[in-house]
Amino acid sequence: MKEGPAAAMEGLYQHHGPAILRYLQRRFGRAASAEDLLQETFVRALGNQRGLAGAASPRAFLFGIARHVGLAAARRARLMRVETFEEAAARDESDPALAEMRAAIARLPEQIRETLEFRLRDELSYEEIAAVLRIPVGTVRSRLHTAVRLLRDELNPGEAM
Amino acid sequence: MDMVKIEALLMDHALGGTSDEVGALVEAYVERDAAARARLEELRGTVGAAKRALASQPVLLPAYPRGALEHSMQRHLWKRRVVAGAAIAACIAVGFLIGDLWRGENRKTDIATRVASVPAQKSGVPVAAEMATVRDFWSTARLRASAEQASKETNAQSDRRIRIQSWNHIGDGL
Repeated sequence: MKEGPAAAMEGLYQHHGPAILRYLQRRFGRAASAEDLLQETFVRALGNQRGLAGAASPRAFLFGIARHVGLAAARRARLMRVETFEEAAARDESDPALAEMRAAIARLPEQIRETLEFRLRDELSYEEIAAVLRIPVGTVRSRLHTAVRLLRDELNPGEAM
Repeated sequence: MDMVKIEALLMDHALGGTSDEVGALVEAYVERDAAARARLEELRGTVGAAKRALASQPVLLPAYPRGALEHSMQRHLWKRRVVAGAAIAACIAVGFLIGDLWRGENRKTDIATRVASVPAQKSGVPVAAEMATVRDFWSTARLRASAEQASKETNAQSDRRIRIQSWNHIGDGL
């Protein structure tokens, strides 16, 4: 293996690995080992050097592969970790407001919740989310607005516009 | 400005999705508009709470899987070589197939031309019109013609035999 791509890949692993691992753990943690999925993600990225070099955002490119790898694993396991937030809410009884918010997020439609997570937890830009989910930026914006509106309406029902 | 547009802008700003330039314009706008400022604060509260709710525990990143990645890279290179080899072999096979088909077409055309050039030969069997009726079949004229034809065929056979026998003696006198 050439030293250049390997060294670059190691740099990407150190820089983006933790965020991708967190994403894989929370999203596909029940379907497969998140560490295995992370390794598979980087193996695929290494096999697609051209795609990585041409990507506008390496972070979005890696998240896109991680999502693909995770969905494939989930399909194989026929199990998705959708109740993460209820579990977290049940664990964290000390802060009822946070528990309520987690429950409200858990009730969001899957696509909207996923987009919100990419923005608020993984801190991907609108463009990066669009690249990961392969949807237009306008759709990302619309989903995020819907998410905020639904959360606000659910947590403050009297102030709904 | 359109209220719907303002709402969308405020929401993007609360989500951190506006550029620095647009963000500065939004901040300047909400300084002048108290209702918009209150709205932005409300949206920021919702987004902030959602962000706190989504905050993850730090994870322990496993060591960089250098060995696995090197192995995978080697496998990937071999796979590419095999695929390239198979593609070349397939191209050659297709070329041979097309060449063979093309030659086959030419051969067919050649045979058809040769067949067409051969003159049609008259059949020795009497045509149906010659024996249209039972009475004609046993007529004197037909029997005579038949005898003449048989005699001609016998003569022709004996001529051929004589010619073949004479070929066997070619060069005997030398």
